[in-house]
Amino acid sequence: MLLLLWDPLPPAEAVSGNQDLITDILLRLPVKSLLRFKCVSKQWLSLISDPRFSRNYRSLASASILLCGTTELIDHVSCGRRNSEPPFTSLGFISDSAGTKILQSCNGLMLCCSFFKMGKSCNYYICNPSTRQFLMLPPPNAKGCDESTTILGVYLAFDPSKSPHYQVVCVRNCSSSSAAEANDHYQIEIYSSETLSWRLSGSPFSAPFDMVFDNGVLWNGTIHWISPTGASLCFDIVQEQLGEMPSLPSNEKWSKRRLRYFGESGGHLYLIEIYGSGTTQFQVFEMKKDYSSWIPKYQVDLTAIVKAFPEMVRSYPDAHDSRFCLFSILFVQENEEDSLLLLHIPGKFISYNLRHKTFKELCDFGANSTKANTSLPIGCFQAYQFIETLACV
Amino acid sequence: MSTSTDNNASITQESGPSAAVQDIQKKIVVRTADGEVFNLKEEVAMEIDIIKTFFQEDSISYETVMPLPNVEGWEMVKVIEYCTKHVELKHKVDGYKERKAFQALFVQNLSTKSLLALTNTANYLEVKYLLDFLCQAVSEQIKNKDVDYVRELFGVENDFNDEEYEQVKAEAPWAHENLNNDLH
Repeated sequence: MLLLLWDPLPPAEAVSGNQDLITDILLRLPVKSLLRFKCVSKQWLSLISDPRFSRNYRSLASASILLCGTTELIDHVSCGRRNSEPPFTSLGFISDSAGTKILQSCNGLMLCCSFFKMGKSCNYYICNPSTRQFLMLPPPNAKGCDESTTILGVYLAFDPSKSPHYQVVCVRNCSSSSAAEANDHYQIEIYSSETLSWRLSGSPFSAPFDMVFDNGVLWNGTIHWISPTGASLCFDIVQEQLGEMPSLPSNEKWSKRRLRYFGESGGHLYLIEIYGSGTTQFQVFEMKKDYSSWIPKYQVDLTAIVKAFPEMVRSYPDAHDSRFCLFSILFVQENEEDSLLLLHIPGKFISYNLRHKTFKELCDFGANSTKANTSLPIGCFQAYQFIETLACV
Repeated sequence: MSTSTDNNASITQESGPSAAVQDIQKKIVVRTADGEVFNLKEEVAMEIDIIKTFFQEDSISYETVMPLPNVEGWEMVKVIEYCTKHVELKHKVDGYKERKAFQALFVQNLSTKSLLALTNTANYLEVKYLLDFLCQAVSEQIKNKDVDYVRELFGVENDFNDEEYEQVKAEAPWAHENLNNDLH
């Protein structure tokens, strides 16, 4: 005979006495609610502040994609089935008189820098928009380089599944006066949130003259760069080693290229290159894990989208290619549920499902525009993957 | 004095060649804290782990009435409702929309306090998917509420003194502002 003898508490108290149950409920709340509920009681404060809670929170949170204009959040696409409010609307909580823009988003933390303002140095910040914490990075050391050195690229590496600490990688040019060769020398520096300081990584290295270090992509703990002309390089942050990348899949002349998308999502590195102004069919390439080559992963055909949104097509009778198809690729999103291609077409954002070849309109922002959607300001919008996190800056 | 309440538990007579073998669907009987007795279809009862363990582990005959002294009658009704629907949707290919509609209706007339009580019950009865759903529902209802509301709901005492409270609040004062407090 089963004996059930424990004294039943009134229901609410039974829940609050049961730490697991409260935790289960708390883990589903947005960060703002969690920060507020730290004030409920000492037990709740201790529960929410516990690093284990933070770890579990991260593993349950669903990612969303933020579509940002230069200073504000335009739209927010939730990737889970639950629709939630956008986690934040501006970076105003970072107090910089010039304003700040997002450079990179990495597992819920963001790397930002101040806009250019005369007479003011450019500051770099690491921030957590969910908790509104931010930290201004100290400027990289000038050791070993001349005073006149330019920062070419800054990257945030943060993988909470491996460590609560993050690193920032900076590539600066370092043209020493003794270098007679045409190649500039570059130097990599790494900042660690554990040591709160920069240190040099390796000695100055040279790279092909057409190598550029902005727009690098972080994948697998390694930063990858592909220059407009096709020169490429990668840097393994853990091993602190530079490496090569396989050649690009297309043989076409780089000057004929209309657009390129290079990004990471869901543990995959993706590349799209489109040639020809009227092209609406192309492939999405993925980098093999062993770095041996780029392999085609998805076939994309935008014909149906063009049909639904004819404003994408422009004809310029005096141009060599008479038909232009206006779109830009914002993001390739890969997760268990879906593989999506986010597009920017005149006045709208479109989501194209790479597996099912269906599409839907995400946001129509052109309705109020004074430009009447005649031009497509490419580069005006950026997409960032985002996840709410309690991680410390 | 026990009253028998049938909830989605009708005896079905199966006709056909195999009918001779098993005519009557097996039923499991439980009694809740307030003395109500429920007849559950076997397949629904087996969704509730604590019941499943009780009968299967020691091969207890289905004639035994299982006592559930920590469960109220109304809670059992709701649990049976949810599990029955879950079993029904198991056999459907795309029951997503139907499940969503059902879930919305399920919580419609329940106060947050009742939801909490049900959460505790689902935890005790060990029905994982119901527990997940209820925790989610509770979190949706409390996410925009203020600290006082949450304390009252969970019956938690404020053990901060004024200074301590202000200190914690000062870490993120913005988190206490702009709450879309729905009138609940």
